[in-house]
Amino acid sequence: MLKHVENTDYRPGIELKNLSAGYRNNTIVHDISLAIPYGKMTVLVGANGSGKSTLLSTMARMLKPLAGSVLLDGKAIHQQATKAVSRQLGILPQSPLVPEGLTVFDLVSRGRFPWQGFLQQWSEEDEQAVEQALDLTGTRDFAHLPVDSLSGGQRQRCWIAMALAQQTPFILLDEPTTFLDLRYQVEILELLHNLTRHHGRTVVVVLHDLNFAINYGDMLVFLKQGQLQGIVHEGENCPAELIQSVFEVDVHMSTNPLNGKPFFMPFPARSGKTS
Amino acid sequence: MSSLAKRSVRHHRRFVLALPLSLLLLFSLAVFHIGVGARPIGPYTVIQALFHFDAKNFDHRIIVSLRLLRLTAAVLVGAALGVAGVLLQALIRNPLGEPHILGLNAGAAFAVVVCTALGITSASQSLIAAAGAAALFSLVMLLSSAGRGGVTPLKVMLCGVALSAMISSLTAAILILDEQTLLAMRTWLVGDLSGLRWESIHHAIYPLLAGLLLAISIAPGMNILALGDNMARGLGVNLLRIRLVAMLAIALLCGVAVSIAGPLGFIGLLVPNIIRRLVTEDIRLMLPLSALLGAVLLLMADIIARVLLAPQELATGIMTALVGAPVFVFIASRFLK
Repeated sequence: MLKHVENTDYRPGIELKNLSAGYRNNTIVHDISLAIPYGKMTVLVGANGSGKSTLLSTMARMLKPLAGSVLLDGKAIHQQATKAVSRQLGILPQSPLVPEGLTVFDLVSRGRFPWQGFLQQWSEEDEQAVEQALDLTGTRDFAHLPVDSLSGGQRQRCWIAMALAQQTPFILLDEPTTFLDLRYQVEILELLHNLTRHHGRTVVVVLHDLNFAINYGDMLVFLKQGQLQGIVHEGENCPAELIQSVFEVDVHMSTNPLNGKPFFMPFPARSGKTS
Repeated sequence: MSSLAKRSVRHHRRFVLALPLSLLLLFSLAVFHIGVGARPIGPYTVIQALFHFDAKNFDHRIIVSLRLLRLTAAVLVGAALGVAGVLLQALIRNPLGEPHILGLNAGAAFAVVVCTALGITSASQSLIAAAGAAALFSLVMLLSSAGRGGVTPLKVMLCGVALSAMISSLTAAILILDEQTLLAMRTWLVGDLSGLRWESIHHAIYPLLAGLLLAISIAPGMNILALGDNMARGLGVNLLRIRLVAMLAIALLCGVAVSIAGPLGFIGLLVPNIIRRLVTEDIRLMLPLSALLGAVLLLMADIIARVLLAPQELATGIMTALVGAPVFVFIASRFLK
């Protein structure tokens, strides 16, 4: 408890209030309330179909809440002008489209859209934001190449660069490491971690890999069948029972020697318990 | 920093090259286009007539009273169709999008034929045509979004073709019942630039300008829309509003084109594909180029239509379809794998 009080920059930026979300006749996420810590990395964890993407999409105002609300700095996000929100909140959806032949630089430049008026198209600020985004993501070297000619990992970094060029304090990403090699997964997660530590961004991300989530997440939000199953705050231990109930699989817990955080190995439902 | 900016403007450099090139092409084709006809006129005389008009010269009088009209119509219609094609393909994210195939032309033609049959010949014929185009295209989008999986490229095309066929047969039914209208509209219905009057161009100017201005106003947003709906929402694009404005602009442009020249196909298909392949996919740059290239292609088609079987003339729409249909099949085979 004491730890939380000492941490002065622990103020809520995004807050969910009794949020239910999903589609017209299909409520997927039920009555969730939580506050996303400012300047930290929050990871949504859960099995397939647990509602983590639905929750993220609703926070990103891609879906309207069925009940309850998402507050951004105290105001309901779905009632604010979409362009004003887009200066606060950047999103990276699961499968964005790339027009054929679009160069990395031009793609990242499009992240400046929320800041551009019709007549004032390109400013020095835009240029700087794009340059910085390219540098942070290491995409400068291939900035002149078409996005569709790049590898999956490079392409993902371009999308993140675009979200960075948007210069929003909050960034939401839906499974940014899916389909990537291990090395690129680590790269992307390091980058996101870096953004929270050195650039003051608040990151909310859906991740599939449990151990990555534990390693990189400051706060872990566990979902099961659309219900909030548990929240592990920064510095708290992640109990094995929680993992077992969320993923419905037996796990062996050990300690990650690098950072002292727990590390979970799954067992097949029964046969693994022979020791 | 500057080197990066320079590298990024590769597309813009191509644009800077393409713009004067297409202007030059347009001008030379225009001179040639004026010269073509029952009484061929050389380029020198054409230029003389345009810049030093002599009322006593018979050729000069032909040029100014007849040929200039056809040229103006071809340029305006070509520009309208080119821009409409760019917007339409960006709107449905499909390189096969085309006013003719998606039913806009058929809808516009139907509206015009109905009004003519009812004896309504108002100054706002292009607005009537635009309303017809908008109505049928809305129906196409509505039908293709029904059912599982939402709007897919193939569904949109099939709905467009089916509804076009349906509404065209209604048009045909009216024309068969009403012989007078048929006589007046027979060649117009395949798309033709003969038998024009200056009035129809005067009446089309404001809808055309409105359509072009709307197109320019949504160009930056259309660039964002190309990244997917969710991405566009995240970047603050109001999806409903931009789609409605795009549809309005497309309907106005198609309405203008159909009210002047009848339903001309495939210009709106070729123009965006050529520009994307050769120059850029940036909608802001595509718009001015598409207007020029649309005019260029239509001038070419109109010249060939009148030269090929001279002294007979083919309808311009037959020419655009002869070239456009194979290209459509080619693009379809690549896109709809």
